[in-house]
Amino acid sequence: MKKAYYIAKKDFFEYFIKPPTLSWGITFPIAFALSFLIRGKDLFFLAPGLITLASFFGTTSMASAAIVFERRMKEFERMIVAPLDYWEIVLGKMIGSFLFGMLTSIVTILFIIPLLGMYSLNLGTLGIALVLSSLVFAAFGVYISMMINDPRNVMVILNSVRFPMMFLSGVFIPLNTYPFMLQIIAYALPLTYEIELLRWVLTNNSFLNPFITIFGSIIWILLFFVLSIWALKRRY
Amino acid sequence: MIHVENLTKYYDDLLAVDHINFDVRKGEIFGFLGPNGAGKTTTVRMLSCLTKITEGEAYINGYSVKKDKKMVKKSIGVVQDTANLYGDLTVKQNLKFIAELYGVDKKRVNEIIKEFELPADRKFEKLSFGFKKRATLAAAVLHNPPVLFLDEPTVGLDVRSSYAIQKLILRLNKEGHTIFLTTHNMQIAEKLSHRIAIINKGKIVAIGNKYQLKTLLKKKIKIEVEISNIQKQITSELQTFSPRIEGNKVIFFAEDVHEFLEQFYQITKKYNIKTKSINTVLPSIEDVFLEVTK
Repeated sequence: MKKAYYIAKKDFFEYFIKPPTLSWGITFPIAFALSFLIRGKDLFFLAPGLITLASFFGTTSMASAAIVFERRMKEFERMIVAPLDYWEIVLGKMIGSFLFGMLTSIVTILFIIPLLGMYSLNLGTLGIALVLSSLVFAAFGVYISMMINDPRNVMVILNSVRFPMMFLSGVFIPLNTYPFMLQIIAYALPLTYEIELLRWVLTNNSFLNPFITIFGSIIWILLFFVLSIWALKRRY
Repeated sequence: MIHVENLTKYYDDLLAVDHINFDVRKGEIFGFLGPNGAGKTTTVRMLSCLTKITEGEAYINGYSVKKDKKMVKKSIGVVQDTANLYGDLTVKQNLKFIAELYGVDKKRVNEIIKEFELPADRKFEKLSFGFKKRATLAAAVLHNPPVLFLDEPTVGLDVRSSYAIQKLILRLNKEGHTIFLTTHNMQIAEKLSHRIAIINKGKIVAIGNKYQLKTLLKKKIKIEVEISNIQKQITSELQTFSPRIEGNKVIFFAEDVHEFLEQFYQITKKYNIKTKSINTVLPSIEDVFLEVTK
């Protein structure tokens, strides 16, 4: 556990607290949210999806950038030749990306809450939702980055997964208006659970039961964590 | 200290390392040479747990590379062909991180910075290439492993930096580290290694100390000839003596010097070639390398 913390700490100083990364982590979610909110329609419905999407894109990009860059420069192999368990490497990489995801989410929320006047939020449940979603996205980003063979292709692969998810997870259209087959697909996507969980926290009007979304999030975290370890073992 | 049995690596259908066997003794510097694509780096990667072994087995410090990976990793330090520390961290932050991964006392970081004369607070990416290599070597010995794998430790370095790294390698060996040295530089391999193995097309084609390797040359005498103008005829007509042009000299290999001189004299006379000098010299590891990797 300690070694996972050391890896996360190293990533934090090496990648995350750099002016370009921080400014991207702050400006991207704001610009992203603004581009939709400026139209002023269905703001209460859109807000949970936009906050989650900002975190989704920020966290997965950061996870993949940190891992892919290290794989290309062979820095990643430093951890492989060290006497570490693979789960320590995966967890360390997840924690670093998770912290960045939290930053992105918090920035977006701080920007959106005053716009929508959502001042009576339960900070406890909001915190749980943000932690869970950032962990799911961090684990997802780590898994994709570990799985691909050629690190140069990571953004292509990541985007070919992220963009369809964006349109199928109920960000822009309520899940209950989807045709049955699309609803089935939506339930198989991690993003759906995180959007629905935040929708419940922010508007108390989610399509999925909040306990299902919490349970689903935990399952996604565990699944991507185990798959990342498997991907590492397969490679080394 | 390193025992390799039938070690084999396939990349899909490509056979990169073909059932190789060798031993590296405790306390020796073992040179591992081979042309590009011969299987050197794949062998080092298998021994340092970075690439899976397809067939065979290897033991380092008594531990199986296949079964006791964690113990093997504790026993080895690896310097790869690239300087792969973290660019945005300082030298000290880098070494501190490595120390944390290996559970090494942080006092050791300061000791090693002093020992390797490293600029502690300079970012790794700002270091000269020579210092980057030196810092990478420092990171590899931080946990004081009995075995060091050095993959091309002097490649890309100027003469002075290369000399400094060679001195460090010799010092580390004197301190008790067994060193597995992969290099393209024959002079360095000959100078530093107690024993050398040459790998070609995935197979070990020669192994032994430098004297044993030189006996592998069928034509043991190396003759350096300096002539007024190098002409095609001299290499084509003396083909049996394996001629090789090196600058303004032609190198020949012969079993019998008298036989060579007789034929050489006839050719020079026939084509009116003036001979400036003829010397016999001992063959080098480079000569052995060129012979066995033909």
